[in-house]
Amino acid sequence: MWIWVALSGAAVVYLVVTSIRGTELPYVNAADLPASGPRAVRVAGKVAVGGIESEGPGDVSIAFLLIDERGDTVRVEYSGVRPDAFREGAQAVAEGTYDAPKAVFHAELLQAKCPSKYEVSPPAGVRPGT
Amino acid sequence: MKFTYLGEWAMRFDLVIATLGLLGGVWGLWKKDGRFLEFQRRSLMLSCGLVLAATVTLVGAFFLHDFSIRYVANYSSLNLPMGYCLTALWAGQEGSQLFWLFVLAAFSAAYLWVHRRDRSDIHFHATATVLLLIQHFFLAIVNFASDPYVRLDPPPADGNGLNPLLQHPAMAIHPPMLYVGFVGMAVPFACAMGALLTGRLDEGWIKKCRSWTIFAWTVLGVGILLGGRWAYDELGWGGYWGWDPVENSSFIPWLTATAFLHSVMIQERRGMLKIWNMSLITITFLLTIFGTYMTRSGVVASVHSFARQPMLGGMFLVFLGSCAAFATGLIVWRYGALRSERRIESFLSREAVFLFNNVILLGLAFAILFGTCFPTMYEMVKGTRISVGPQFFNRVTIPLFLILLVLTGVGPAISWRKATGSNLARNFLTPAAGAALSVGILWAGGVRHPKAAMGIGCIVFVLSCLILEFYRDTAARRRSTGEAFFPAMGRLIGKNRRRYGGYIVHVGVAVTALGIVASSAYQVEKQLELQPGQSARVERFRLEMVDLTDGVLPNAKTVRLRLNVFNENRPMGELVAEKRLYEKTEQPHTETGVMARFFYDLYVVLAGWSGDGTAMIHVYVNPLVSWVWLGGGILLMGAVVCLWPK
Repeated sequence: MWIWVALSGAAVVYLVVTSIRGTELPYVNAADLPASGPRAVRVAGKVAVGGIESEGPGDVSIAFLLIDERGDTVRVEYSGVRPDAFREGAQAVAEGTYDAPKAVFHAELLQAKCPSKYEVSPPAGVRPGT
Repeated sequence: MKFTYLGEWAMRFDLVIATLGLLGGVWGLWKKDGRFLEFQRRSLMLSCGLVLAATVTLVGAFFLHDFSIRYVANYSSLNLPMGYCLTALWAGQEGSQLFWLFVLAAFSAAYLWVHRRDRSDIHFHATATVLLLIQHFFLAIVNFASDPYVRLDPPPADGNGLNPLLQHPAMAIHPPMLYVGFVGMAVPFACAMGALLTGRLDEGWIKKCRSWTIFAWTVLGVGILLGGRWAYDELGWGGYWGWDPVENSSFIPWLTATAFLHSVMIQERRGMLKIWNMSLITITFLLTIFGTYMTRSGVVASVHSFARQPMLGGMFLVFLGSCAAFATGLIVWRYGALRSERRIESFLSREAVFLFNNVILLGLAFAILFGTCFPTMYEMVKGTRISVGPQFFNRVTIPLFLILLVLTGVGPAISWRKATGSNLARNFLTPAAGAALSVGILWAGGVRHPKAAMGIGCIVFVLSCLILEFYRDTAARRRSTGEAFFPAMGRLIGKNRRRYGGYIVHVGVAVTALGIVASSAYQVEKQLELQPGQSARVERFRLEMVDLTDGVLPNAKTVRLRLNVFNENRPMGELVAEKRLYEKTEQPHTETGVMARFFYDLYVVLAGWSGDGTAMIHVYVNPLVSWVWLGGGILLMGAVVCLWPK
C-alpha cells in the first residue's frame, strides 16, 4: 500500500515540477526588451514622475514611462481598468509584449502597488521619539 | 495619553511572566511536580490577561486618536470613521503581530477553560507548556522586532489615515477570521506535542485535538472565502481568487488540516497512521507560521505584503526551524509507541480512500507551495526574476481538485476494512449513472467545455452519493421508529453529529465547487462605451445609462455611474458603480456595482469617462457566484453540527 502512496505522490510531484516550464513568465529589464521578441514578458519598475499621459482620472487609455531598477526607461501603453494604486511614483508591473519598431510595450495586464506597500512613512516633520 | 503606558508595560512585563511560567512548566513536567505545573497554569492565565491589556490599550489609543503612538499616527486620522478605529489595529505590521499574540492568548485561555476539569492530567499541562512557548516567541517579536508602542515626540496634529482598500466591512471580519484560523492550529499542534512529551499517546489527545482542529479549520475556510468575497467586491476585476501568494499561504495549511481531519479518523478507528498524523499536524502548524512569515517579512511580492523587515524575517525562520526540529526530535524519540497496530487490508476500503485523499491533498498543498515559492527560489539561484501566474496553478490543481471531488463522494459511503462488490454497487451505481446522465444532458444542451462538464459530473456524483446516504439512513430510522421523514432526519443527525455534520460539510464543498466551476468556465466579459440615455446588450441583459454625476463624501470625492438594468425587457432595477478619490491619500478607489442573483451576478465597473459624459464600463456576467458563498455557509453549518456539545 505504501508503495502506491509513494508512487502517486511522486506522480503529483512530477506533474507539478514539469508544469512550471512553459507557464512561467520572465521579468525582463527595459534594456533587454528589444531582444525578447514577440513572447509575453513582464517589466517591473517605478512609474516616472510626470510621465503619465492621460486626460485625467477618467481616461481609459494611458501611456507612461516605467523606470526599471537599473534606471532604464520604457514607454508602456495600456488600455483598461486602471489599478487603484496606479499613480506617479508607484511600483508597477506590466505584463504584455514589446513592439520593437515603435519602441512601445503593450501591456495586457497592469498591477500597481503603493510606493511603500502598506507600510507608510511617519508623518512629515516629525522625528521618532521613544 | 498616560493610560497607554499601562498597555505598553503590560506587554513588556509579560516577557518576565511568560519566561517564569515556562521555566516552572518545564521543571514541573520533568520532576512531575504538580505545584510547578499549577504555577505554570496561573502564569499562562496572567500572561493572557497582560496581552489582553496591551491590545485593548492600543485599540483605545486609536479611538482617542492618540497620535503620540507612531502606529496610531501611521494608520488612522481624525476623520476615520469610528468602526475602522478597531480594524486599524491589524492594518500594519506591528499591530498585526500584537493581534496574532492576542488571538493566541485568547486560544490559550479558552484551552485552559474548556479543559479545566483535566487539571490532574499531565497532558493538560504539557499542552499548556507548548502554548506558552509559542506565546513567548510572539511576545519577543512585539517587544524586540516589531514594537507597536514606539512613540512620537511631539505628536503630529493628525495621522496618515487608513488605506482606503482596508475601509471595507469585510476587512473587519476577513483578517480576524484568518488569524483565528491560523492561530487556532497552534492548539492541536500543542496537544500533539504534549502527547509526545508525556508519552500519553492513546486516543485521549486525538479526541481533544480533533475538535480544536475542526474549529480552526472551519474559521480558516470561512475566512478564506470572505477574503475572496472582499476581492470580488473591492478589486474590480470580476473574480474572487487570483492565486496571490498570500491567498495561497492561507489555503495551504487549510489543505493539510483537511488531510489531518481525515487521516486522524483512521487512527481513531483502526490504530494506524500515528506518525503520519503527528507529521501532518506539525506541518499544518509550521505552514501557518510560514504563511505569517511570508506575509509579514515581505519575502514574497504580493498585493498583501508588508515592507521587508530582515530582523523579523530572521526571527521567524529561526522559530520555524526550531519548531520543526523540536517536533521531529519528539517523533523520533517516541517512535516505538507510534507504530501501527494494523495494516490496510484492501484498496477498496475507507482507509485506502482516506489515504489516497491525503496524498491528493498534500499534493495540492505541495503544488501551491511550490508555485508560490518558485519565483523566490529562482531569483536566489539564477539571479533573474520570473513570475508564476494563474496559468500554472490552474493547470496543476484542476485535475487534482477533480479527483478530490470524486473522493468527497466516495469517502463517506465506502465501508471500512474491505468493501464488497454489493456495497460498491449499492452505494455508487446510482450516483455514477446520475453523473453520466447529467453530463449527457449538459452536452446535448450545448455545454461543450470539457473541464466544466467533468467538474459538473463529479459534483452531481458527490451530491447524489451524499443524498443517497442521508435518504437510506433516514428511511432505516423511519422503519424502526415510525417517525415522519424530516423529524427522523433531524434526530438522525442529532444522534450522530460528527458523522452527519461531516456529510453536510461535504455538501457545502460540492456547492462551492459548482459555483467555482460555473463562474470560471462561463464568465462573460464585455466593455461598453455609453452616453446618458444610450443602452447596450450583454447576453440577455440590457443596460441603459442614466447619468454620470460628481459627488462628495465626508472623506472622498466620487464619480458615480447609474445604470438601469433590464433582463430581456423586464426591469431589474438600478445599478451604481463609482470611482472615489480619497482626500488624505489621494488614492483612487473603485466601487463595483454588483447585482447578485441566485443563478448569476451582474458585475459592473466604471473604468473611465471622458469630458462629453461618455462612460467606459466593464460588465461581467458571472454565473453561480453566489453558490461559492452559499457553499461556505453550508460548510459552516455542518461544522457547527460537528462541534455542537452533547
